[in-house]
Amino acid sequence: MPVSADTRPLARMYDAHHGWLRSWLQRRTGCSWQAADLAQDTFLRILASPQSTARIAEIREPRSFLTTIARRVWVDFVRRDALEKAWLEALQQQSEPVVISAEEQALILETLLQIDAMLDGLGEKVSQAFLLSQLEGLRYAEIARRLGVSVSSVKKYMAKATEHCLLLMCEDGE
Amino acid sequence: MDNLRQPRVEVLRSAARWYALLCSEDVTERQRQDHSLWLDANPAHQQAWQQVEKLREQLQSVPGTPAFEALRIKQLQGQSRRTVLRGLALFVGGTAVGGLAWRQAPSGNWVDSWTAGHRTGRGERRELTLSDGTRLVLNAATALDLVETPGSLMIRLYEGEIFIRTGKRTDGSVTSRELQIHTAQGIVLPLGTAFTVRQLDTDTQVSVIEDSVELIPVQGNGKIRQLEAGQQARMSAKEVTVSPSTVQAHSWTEGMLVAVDWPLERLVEELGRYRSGILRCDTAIAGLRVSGTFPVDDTERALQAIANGLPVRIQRVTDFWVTIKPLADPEMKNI
Repeated sequence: MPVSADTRPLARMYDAHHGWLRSWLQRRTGCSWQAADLAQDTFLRILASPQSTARIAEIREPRSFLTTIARRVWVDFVRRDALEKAWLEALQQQSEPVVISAEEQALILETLLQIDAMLDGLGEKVSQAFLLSQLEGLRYAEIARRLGVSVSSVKKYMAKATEHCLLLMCEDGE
Repeated sequence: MDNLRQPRVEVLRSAARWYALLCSEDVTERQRQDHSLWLDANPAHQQAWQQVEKLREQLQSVPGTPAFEALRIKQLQGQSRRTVLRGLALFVGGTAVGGLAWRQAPSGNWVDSWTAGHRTGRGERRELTLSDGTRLVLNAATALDLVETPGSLMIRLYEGEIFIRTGKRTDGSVTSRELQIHTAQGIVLPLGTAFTVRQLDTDTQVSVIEDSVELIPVQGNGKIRQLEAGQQARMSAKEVTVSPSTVQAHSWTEGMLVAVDWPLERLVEELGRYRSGILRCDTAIAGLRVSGTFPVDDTERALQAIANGLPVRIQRVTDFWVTIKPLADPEMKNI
């Protein structure tokens, strides 16, 4: 199969280290299927990033580079998996049955992942205040009571969380 | 670059403040009008407000209550990406649930310890048997949360000490459920075993009684340290220091404290965990070496044993304020 000039170093890296990466992942995850998937996704992610692909030839420690990317792939996998399980658990807790199509479910999970990622790094109370207001629709007075803070603090938390989300949205859009 | 972005950040901040105000139940008509004026004043304001609307749409596109609960459950499991990226700590077991649960806190004793699901007071010890047969014993002054999912069990230890013997099936095989103990410094992963974990001020102390456990410090760049039976380790956020376990680390589960050539100071500190009030020892005798077994459920007897075996006396200011003094107290001679 002809390989374009850009990806040849990656192909060499694949040949030289894919097997090693897979067994490294298997030792870590304890699961050969998962290790195979993760190893594959690691190379796909490098391929999807033109910057990484362009600089592959310069990388001196390919294994350390690969494990760094593999960790990120795994982190994303874990986040998605954890959120999906949390979502199913939350659905089970609803007193009223909630009917959601598979398609809607996928969209909801995607949105939840984005919200979760946006709120990441904010303080516990800040993100709680924001979610209680925006998802649960609670009044500030009730949020203040639940969090044991003043209403003016709730207002500050809201502004802080909103600003944080707006900044991230704009960064992503750039 | 930063200079160019500066005004935009300011505008976004203003937009966020407006949004926080408009979401409030006591927003006035006057404030709404002011907001309209602000929007009209500058196209950049309108641009920023479009982002706010986009955010609001996104939030409204999910069913509120289950979405809130899902995010809450996820947060409780502590999947903080920044923490996750810091180390390889979540390369654990076959299933991915659980993940990282600690926060970056100066010590384990952060505010959640007050809202923890399980806690014991001083001098109190409690035993829990979990659904898979895992035995969990909380030592005195311990606080933890349990997060159970079908495939995993996560314990977040905020303060104090626990003993764990992982569950076995009736045929004697070890259960497949993944167990993780998270402390302020990292994760402890048992490999079918009995062990203790103690949250100290700046470290986590782990003693293995049977089989082995793995220790993963939060900032250890993914390094995993395996600890075998009879070993004890201190884990900081960055590294693990292993030493042979010199005492029966879990003797407290039987109500005994075993000291082997300890400075008196340490024994007094340990006994202090099991009684209310202040227990101290005079610096002049802090370094006296002491060995023995001391009952933790009856610290009075333990104190008596100390007084019988060492050249010290027990000085009671009140029952809640006890100091161990040298037998020949220089201050006494002056009286």
